Amino acid sequence: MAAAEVSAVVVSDSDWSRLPDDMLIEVMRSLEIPDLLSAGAVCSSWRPAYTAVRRVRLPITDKSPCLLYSCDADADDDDVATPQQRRHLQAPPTRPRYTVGSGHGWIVTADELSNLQVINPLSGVQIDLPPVTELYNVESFTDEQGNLMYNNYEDSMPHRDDPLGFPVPYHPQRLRLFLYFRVILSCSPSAGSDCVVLLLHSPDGQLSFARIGDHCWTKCPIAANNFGISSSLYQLYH
Amino acid sequence: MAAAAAEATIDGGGKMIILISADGKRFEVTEAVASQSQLISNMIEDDCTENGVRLPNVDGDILTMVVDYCNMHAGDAAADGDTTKASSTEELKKFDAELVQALENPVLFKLILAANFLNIKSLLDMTCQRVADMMSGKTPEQMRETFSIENDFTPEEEAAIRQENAWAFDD
Repeated sequence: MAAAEVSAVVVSDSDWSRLPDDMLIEVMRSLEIPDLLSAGAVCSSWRPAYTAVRRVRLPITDKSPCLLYSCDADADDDDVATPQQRRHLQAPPTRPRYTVGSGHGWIVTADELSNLQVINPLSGVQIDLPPVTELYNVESFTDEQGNLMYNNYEDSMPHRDDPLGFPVPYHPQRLRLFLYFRVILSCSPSAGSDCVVLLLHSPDGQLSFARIGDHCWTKCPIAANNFGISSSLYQLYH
Repeated sequence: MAAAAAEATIDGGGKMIILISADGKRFEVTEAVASQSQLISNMIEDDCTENGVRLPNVDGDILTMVVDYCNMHAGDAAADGDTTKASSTEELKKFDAELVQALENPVLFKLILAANFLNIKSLLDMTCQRVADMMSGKTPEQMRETFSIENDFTPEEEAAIRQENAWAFDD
């Protein structure tokens, strides 16, 4: 009796563009998201596998809203969720940070020194915004133990003899909780200095702005009536 | 006699199977080793391995690597609770790491196909991970260089792909 023969299709020698889809899918499943997108741009024969993997791993094809969150089970990573799916991201370290806002696929966070950054959670790109001490109403000092502290002049009703009012001292990681109210991006930060970051912060109703790459925040000269600014920002944004 | 027979069984399934590569090389392995391949495991169940199994799309040199891998990992699947296993886990890790590190084109390509065809999941996972590692952090152009792939997209198609990803990587 002859040996059992297993029939199979023979693939030509080491032509990676002809790696069968099953195996390509296996490979692409373990790629980071930016690498996955690159893999989809390599050649046309990789497209079907790429499309299949992308549909499962990154079910975001348009500008529909996504929810970004992290949980205790994965201390260093974040999840991104759409109404249909939940996906795990090996995201930049946003967890120790305070999220101030988001727009155009980017999020704006405040780190433990209360400085702001814009982060693209999918590509991992991160750009520093001007430091918090460049806001007109914030200054740093060292306390008696030599620790960095901030003074925030957050009084919205200035006194006659001191236009800034009295400062309130904050620990560096606490200031961000009280200073920032809302942040608006005029367009994607990848546009560089064309992108204006508008910041609504304390004192109540105060606005400052900076372009990507700027070294300082510019205070917006605003009307005497400070109230209601947050709602008009919201309409501007939409 | 009875003791010897029992020992042979403990050793790893007792029965031997002959695998024949595309270029006619013959490999004699125990059932326990061979059945890490789901394909061959199914054939053993169907009782059609008696006269050897011919594998027309696996070269001798690739089958040598597959058999080495399966020999190393046979204890893994067969004997749980074996006290000698503790040391062999370390050895296995070292063996796998060295094997994967040494994998280059075109051997890697052929080994993936063989692992897929023979349906050896752990070997398939390991080799696919190696490919993923080779792609990591690269641009499409660098990936093409690594794997000697022609860019067959038209400029219009490339523009469409860029557009598709613009929301995430607006460039």
